[in-house]
Amino acid sequence: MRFKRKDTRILEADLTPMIDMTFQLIAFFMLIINFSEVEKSEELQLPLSEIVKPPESPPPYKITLNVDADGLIKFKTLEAVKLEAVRPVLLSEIGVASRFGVAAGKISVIIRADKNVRTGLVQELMEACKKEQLEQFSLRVNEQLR
Amino acid sequence: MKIRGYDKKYDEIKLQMTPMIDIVFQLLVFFIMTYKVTAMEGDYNIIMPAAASEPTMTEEILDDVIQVKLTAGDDRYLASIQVTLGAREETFAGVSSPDKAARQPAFDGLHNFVLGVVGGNKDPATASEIEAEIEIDYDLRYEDAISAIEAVSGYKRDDGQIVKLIEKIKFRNPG
Repeated sequence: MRFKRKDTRILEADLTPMIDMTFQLIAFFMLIINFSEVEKSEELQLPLSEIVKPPESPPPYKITLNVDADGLIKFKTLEAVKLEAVRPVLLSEIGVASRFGVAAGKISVIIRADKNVRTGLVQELMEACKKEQLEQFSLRVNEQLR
Repeated sequence: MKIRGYDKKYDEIKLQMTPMIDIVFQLLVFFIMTYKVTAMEGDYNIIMPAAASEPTMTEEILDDVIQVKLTAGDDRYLASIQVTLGAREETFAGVSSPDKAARQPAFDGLHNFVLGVVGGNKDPATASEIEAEIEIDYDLRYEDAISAIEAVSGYKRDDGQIVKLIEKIKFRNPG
């Protein structure tokens, strides 16, 4: 009896297109990843506005202060503090900025405040910043899409 | 003629792709999982007035400074907006309630006032030289303060173009 010989060659799929695509996806996600998000406090509900646009150029140095609905102020990953305790944080950041050659008056203070916080508190925070010679203030809001 | 080495069989060199693909997929999964779709954020630039010891313009009534006073209701939502420009003074009342539509007439009143002063036919990209000075009740919810700032700052036309009205916005010192 005659037996048919089995074809024992290993079939290999061509993986090149898949790898190409995967690398392209990785490159895409790497490009859009934004590490500056670390400064943002995600639990905040920012007010909405139709007419704001993201700033065209970043300021030379910025301090982002997050104010939650309870009025506590959070800076980067530090523990949230009351308004009275915000001065050391500001002084430390002003010190860092001066090492980069940025004067206090040129530092941009970005305030990300919860939509339900008392506006007076935001104003007091700005006053506290102003006492440390910080002069440029931006109130950050979410862009509202129609 | 027999060429030496001609018959030699070379081993086919194969790259091991499996570990690379594993790593690549892990990277891909990481980036996909950490990707967040978030709304874009933008800024309103605010000028704080000079320190209280220095003379401020708030006490005098100037023709190029619109003075806006936001009053909060019992539930800390906006109750009314008082606007003063020179001898003109108007008050726009809303209904202090969590429903934004009930408060909207006050913001619309403020916006129309500013539009009437600044003029709607100006170059959309350039803001007016007129200033706005805003005095806000301490307890007012921040979102209403931002809505008032938006009302004086500009508006979005139907074609999507943003028309700037007033850029120089000051907060009055908190009482």
